[in-house]
Amino acid sequence: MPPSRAAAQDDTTPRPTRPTPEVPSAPSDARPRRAVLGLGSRPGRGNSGRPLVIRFVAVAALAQFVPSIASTSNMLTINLACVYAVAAVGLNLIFGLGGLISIAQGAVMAVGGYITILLFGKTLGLVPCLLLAGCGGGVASLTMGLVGARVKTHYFVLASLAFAEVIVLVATTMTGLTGGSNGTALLGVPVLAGLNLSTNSGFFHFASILLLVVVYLADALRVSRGGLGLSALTMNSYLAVASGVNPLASRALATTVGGVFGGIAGGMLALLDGYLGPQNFDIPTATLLLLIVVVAGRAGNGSVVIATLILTFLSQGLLTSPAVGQLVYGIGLIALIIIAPGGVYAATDWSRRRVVRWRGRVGYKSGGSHE
Amino acid sequence: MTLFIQTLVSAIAAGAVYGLLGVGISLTYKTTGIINFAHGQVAIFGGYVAFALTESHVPLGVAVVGGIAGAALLSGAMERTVLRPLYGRDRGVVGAILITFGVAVLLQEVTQLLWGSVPQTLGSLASGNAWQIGGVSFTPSSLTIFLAAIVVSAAIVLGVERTRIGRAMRGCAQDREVVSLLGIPPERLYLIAFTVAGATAGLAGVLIAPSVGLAPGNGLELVVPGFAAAVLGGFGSLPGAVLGGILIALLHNIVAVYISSGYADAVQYMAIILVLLVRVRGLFGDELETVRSV
Repeated sequence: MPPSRAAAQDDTTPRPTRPTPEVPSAPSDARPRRAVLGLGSRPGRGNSGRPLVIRFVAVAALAQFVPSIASTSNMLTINLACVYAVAAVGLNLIFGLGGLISIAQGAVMAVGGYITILLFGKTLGLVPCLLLAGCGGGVASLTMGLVGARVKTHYFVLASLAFAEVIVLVATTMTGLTGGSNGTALLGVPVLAGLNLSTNSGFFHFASILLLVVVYLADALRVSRGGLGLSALTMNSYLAVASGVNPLASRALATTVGGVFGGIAGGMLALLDGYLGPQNFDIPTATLLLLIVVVAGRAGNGSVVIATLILTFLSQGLLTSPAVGQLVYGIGLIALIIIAPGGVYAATDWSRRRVVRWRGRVGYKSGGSHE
Repeated sequence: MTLFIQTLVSAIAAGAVYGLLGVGISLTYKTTGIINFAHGQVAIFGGYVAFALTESHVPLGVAVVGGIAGAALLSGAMERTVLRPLYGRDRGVVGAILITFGVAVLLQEVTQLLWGSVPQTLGSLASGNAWQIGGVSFTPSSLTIFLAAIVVSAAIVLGVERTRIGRAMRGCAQDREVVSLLGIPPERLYLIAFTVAGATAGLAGVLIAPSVGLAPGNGLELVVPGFAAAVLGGFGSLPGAVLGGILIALLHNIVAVYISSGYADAVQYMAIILVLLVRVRGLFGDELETVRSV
């Protein structure tokens, strides 16, 4: 017979209980808190576990250390990697988190880049230029996002391709404004808080800190309500909508924030090169950014930065033979998707699990033979 | 008025080729659900194979057939080697789209390594001497291009609509399991779709090569009008792709003649963006196929 309820209540013997997650109690009259861009949440807890201060100190130390040991050409490549990393972190939000394949991140960079190069030194200072570049990139990307939110993934790819080509075409055709195919040069020397950004070390200080902020914000978005909603939409859109996720708002958020980062990256590229032309934002640039995100997989923005560094060095090394460089890109993209669709992180994880399983089998066999 | 009619007549041949490209893109999409970004590069490859054969003193007609066969084999091989491993995987279609993008980059560089970056020309199938009718001129070459592209497009449309294999290909993208229950292996249908689409791309390549030339980087210039034709006609609709191709070419020529030749290329891009914003299913497409369910 089952014990009565009273007997069960009187039973004072401690029972093993399942740990229950702590649910924060909210005042009954309070409205649910919304995390704006994830800043209301704690990215450090949700992602890497390292607070921002530690990351900042580490990056500041790196910014002091790297220029002293790297050669001039290596510093140029590292600076370029920082620029591409900012754009790739943005693309990772659109593609990695939002599941929307975009070939237009290079074009979004172009919007930011041309805003910076056309306004800096004439009417605006450095910081307003970069902010406007981010806004321009965000608006451009949101325009695509509004298409992508409505149509299936295939059509978003086409829309992004068309958008990218329109931007490059406009940059090539409007010779009076953009310099056409010859491009246009930056007027004046960019200086920020005493840092001369036209020097390699000065730009690296600026770019590394900016990259840190961008990665922090992207991490924050990833663990925010909007970011979690996006992840849910990518995994199972029906369940996500049933749980209250707004697909239109979520996809618009991903494309806008990704576009803001892309626009800022374009502005950074204008400051780094001191010159911009349509060839800076062609299809190979889009391929490189896409490849970076595919290589990084779903392991977070830290791995995007590492993948950017590796692939930028690889691409710059292959620039001596551009045909072979594109050949390597093409083969790399195909091989990665077939062999390691989850990126290098997933491939490493898969290899580790295989090794553990193999060790287990070897241990079992050797144990069996002893018996 | 004569200028306007001449503008329209000049666009017909290019429009038929864009339609042919759109038919190939729509056919692979209709069967496999994959958008093939390498389609334009396959067309260029077909043109280069025909060019290589003519350089080896093979008659032009045989070289054209060789170019079509080369493109068909390449497209079939692409499906068999790099796309087939992805079928059945989670988010496999997304991976497949990315792979076709990688194949396009790879093919461009392989073409450049094989035939160099200097643009080449392929002999025309018919004479380029213009005929004049009522002040409007057109060439036997453009008439041949138009007829070849329209006849092949119509044959593919009828084949997909009327034959058993064609009907199975249409059903395959919607429900692969039902098609396999009917005793038709979906993998075979995918291979047929890619091979036939490759052949149409090869034909488009050899038809358009005499007028625009052959360069390794021309793949994007061919695939975008193909996409625009397919999107305007309604993605997956084969007759729509033919009509969409002709409309895109007409708009392109009208903008080039009456507004600015610099912005003529923007027509195809703007057509894609506007159709996706305003009328996603295009002229003859299916709304359910295009609009996100959630």
